[in-house]
Amino acid sequence: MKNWAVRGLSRRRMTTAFPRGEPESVAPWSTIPVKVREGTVLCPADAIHDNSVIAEKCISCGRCSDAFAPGGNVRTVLVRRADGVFRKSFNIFIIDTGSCGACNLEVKALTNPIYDMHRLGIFFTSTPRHADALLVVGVMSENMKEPLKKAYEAMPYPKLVFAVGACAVSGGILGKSIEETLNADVIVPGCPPSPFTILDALLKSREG
Amino acid sequence: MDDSLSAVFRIGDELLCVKGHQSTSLQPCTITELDSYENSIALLGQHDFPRELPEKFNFNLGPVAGGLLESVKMNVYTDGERIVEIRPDPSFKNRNIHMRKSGIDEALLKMERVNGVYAASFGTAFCLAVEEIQQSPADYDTQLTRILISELERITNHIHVIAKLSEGASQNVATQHLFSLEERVRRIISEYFGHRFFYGLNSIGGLEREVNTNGLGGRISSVVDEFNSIWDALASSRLFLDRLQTTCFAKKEWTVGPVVRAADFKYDARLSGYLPYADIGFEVASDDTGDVLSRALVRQHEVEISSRMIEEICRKVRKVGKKRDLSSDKNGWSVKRVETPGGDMILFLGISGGFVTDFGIRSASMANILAFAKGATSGILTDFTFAWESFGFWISEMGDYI
Ligand code: SF4
Ligand code: SF4
Repeated sequence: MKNWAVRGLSRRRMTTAFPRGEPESVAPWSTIPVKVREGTVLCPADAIHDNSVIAEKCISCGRCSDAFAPGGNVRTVLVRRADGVFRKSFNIFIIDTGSCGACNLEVKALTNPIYDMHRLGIFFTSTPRHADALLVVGVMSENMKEPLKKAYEAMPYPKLVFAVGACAVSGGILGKSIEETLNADVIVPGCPPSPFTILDALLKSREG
Repeated sequence: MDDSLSAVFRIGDELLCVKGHQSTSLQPCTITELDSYENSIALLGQHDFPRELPEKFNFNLGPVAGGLLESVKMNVYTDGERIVEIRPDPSFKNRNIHMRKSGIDEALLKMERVNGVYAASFGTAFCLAVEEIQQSPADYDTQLTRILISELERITNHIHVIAKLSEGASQNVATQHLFSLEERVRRIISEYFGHRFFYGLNSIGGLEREVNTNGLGGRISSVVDEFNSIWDALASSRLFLDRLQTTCFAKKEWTVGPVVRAADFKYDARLSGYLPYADIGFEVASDDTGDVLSRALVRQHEVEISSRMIEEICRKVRKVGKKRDLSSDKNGWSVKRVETPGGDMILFLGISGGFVTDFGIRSASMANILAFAKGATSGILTDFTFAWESFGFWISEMGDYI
């Protein structure tokens, strides 16, 4: 026991200064690219229009690097509806409707001591009946339509829906968006979105 | 002789199979012939293993349940505390990814997203298959860099699996230390390669971004030192060992990855030389008990071996430039076997006129799922988590392709 305590203390404080401070580490190609020079670009996700990138469609592939560079901004979420009632405590239920696994890991990372979302009053819950928000990752696969609808119906009011990652938001290059089945209140772009972006989305959705 | 059944691909009306742990040759086969193999049902993608229903209490877990990282349904039959049968059903999140008729570069990006957690090794397999068809292998430094990213991926993944085992055993402090280490490696990866999961890095004939390895070996070796000291502390906990030891035996020659190596079969696709592993001191880690603890021990040993290989590569390769070559118009097909962190993945790829014409994957999760179902049977319900996590399954890689 003493061993673990000493080990913990010797690592000093690990927790990020975010959201008060800036993120300590940003994966460049997880952020939305911006145009920096002329060049030929063939975007596989059809995300580039009029020299700028549609965040919802971008799959973070970097194939535009001849003309674009990572924007470096993690605060790129789109909040269509927020609710201040969740300010003190916010319970999230995660549902995977057809992901590659990476979005799941970035969401799960929020509980590690570095992001430590619990310090901000945000928790995962293991049942939709106790959830204030549904956090959806992945494209809308056919067999998950029913479980998604049922999870949403099982939640008490008020409730929010988050589409997390290019797949859930727009279908990316792999399939269909979840919005054909359920309207999303918060859009979290990225493939996968940085844990900072997901945390930013959770915090902004409580600002109503 | 190793003639276990490794993969079955449906190409049009034909069934083609791959046998043994090293071969990449396709042989025609029939359903009757496949019946004689214990694992053929799982390899044919029939996950609801059709056996007699036991007259026991049945409960379903999932497809959506807290604690499961991905959507999967478990039909569990129990007799009191004892599990008499488990039938995992991974079909819920099947994405039916459109691979055929995709352009080669688009298909590579899709391949990375079949299992994003294994994007480095999946992308590498795809590039190797295309480069073989086009008879234009990547240069030596690119090949070493592909090993580098695959081994970084293995380290991150193995730390994650051991963190999940620790979490299952309620070793909360160790668990949080391990998840922090996983995050530390992801941040190092993003700093050196531009993306936390290596997306967009691999390209046909080379790499899409310049890579500079300066300082990388030392930083990974310090993570691995810390990982080892956490492992040593965990391994001195009787409570932790008790949960892992003699839980969920899986000793089947047809399994792959840390699962088969923990059962004392020294199979590893890296031995076949699809990349120059022989030049950087690769060795196979193995154990002989075949239980959850054995699988964890193999992973722990593999983290050390990967770290040594990474240091060696960083000594040999300082910088690799951006390079892509999609100029060839050769057509054909290729079978590639690549050792992903979960085990040997077999890719069957056909291309014509710059587009994918045939595509199939036998992933490590597909190869091992039946061994989990068999191994967890006759265990007790509370061991379920350890059994499941020790295999390191990714449901995302068990889908179908159009
Ligand atoms: S990163 Fe990829 S998807 Fe995003 S704008 Fe660039 S090319 Fe398009
Ligand atoms: S958005 Fe990207 S990372 Fe997330 S599930 Fe889709 S492919 Fe995977």
